[in-house]
Amino acid sequence: MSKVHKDFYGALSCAFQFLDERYGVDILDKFLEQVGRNCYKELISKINQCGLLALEEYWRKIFTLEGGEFEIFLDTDSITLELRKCPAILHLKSVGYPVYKDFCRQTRVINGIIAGETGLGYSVESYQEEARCIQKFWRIK
Amino acid sequence: MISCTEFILAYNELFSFLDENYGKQAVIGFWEYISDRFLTNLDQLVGEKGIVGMKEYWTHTLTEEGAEYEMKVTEDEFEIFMKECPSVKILNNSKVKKYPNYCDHCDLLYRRVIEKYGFTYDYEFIDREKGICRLIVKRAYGGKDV
Repeated sequence: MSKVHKDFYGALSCAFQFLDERYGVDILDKFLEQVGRNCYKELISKINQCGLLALEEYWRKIFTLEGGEFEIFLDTDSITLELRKCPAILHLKSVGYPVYKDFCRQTRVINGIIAGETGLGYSVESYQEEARCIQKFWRIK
Repeated sequence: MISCTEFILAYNELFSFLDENYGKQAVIGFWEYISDRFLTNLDQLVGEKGIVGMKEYWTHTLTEEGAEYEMKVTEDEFEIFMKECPSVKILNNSKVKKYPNYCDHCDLLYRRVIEKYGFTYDYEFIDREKGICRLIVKRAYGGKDV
């Protein structure tokens, strides 16, 4: 059975803070781009094979396992995730870990890599203080 | 969002990223930073409760991570025999390239917290590929008695 150790969110936030402080935000982005390319290969491959359904399956699995409150809207050309309660930000706040000032940057950068590798369009509206975001991918005609 | 289940992959990637771009010292700099800034809960537990705090910390984290391990706790010694490290298992089951010195972070991160409270800290890497290791902490002469 899969385990969820939510304190990892705290280490992640700390890692972003480290990269920003020591090397600057451009290097943080460069790192996140590398994460997108190397750690999301399997998801990218599934999207290229199965289309937007692969994203639906991925989001449902991750946010169910980690306890997010969300809704997914799928049609033939696009998919939208409305994440109403982000499990990461809520955990960081509840435990009292520092939240990196642009914690949601990771989603914008990594989704950009996923979109680039799959030929999809994408957008991310993040509201970090409210622990929510809207992520969208769509087919480019 | 990098999920908890994907964290180890990103963590490993960061070690590689820092080493490739800035050298091993940059990786060590990150480990020191995260030990000082993130392991504040372990620091507090060891500072207040000594070995009992170590037991509390690792029982919580290793249970959540699904580790296969044995823990021995006495008044003066604390030992974890890791039979299958959950992080190494995740990396081995993925297609990502494991950072060659991945296991070293466990030695540095926790040593930095524990030794300052008057304990000796020994880490034995038995099989890095399979994720088998042993951590032995002993109360040093004159160490904190809590």
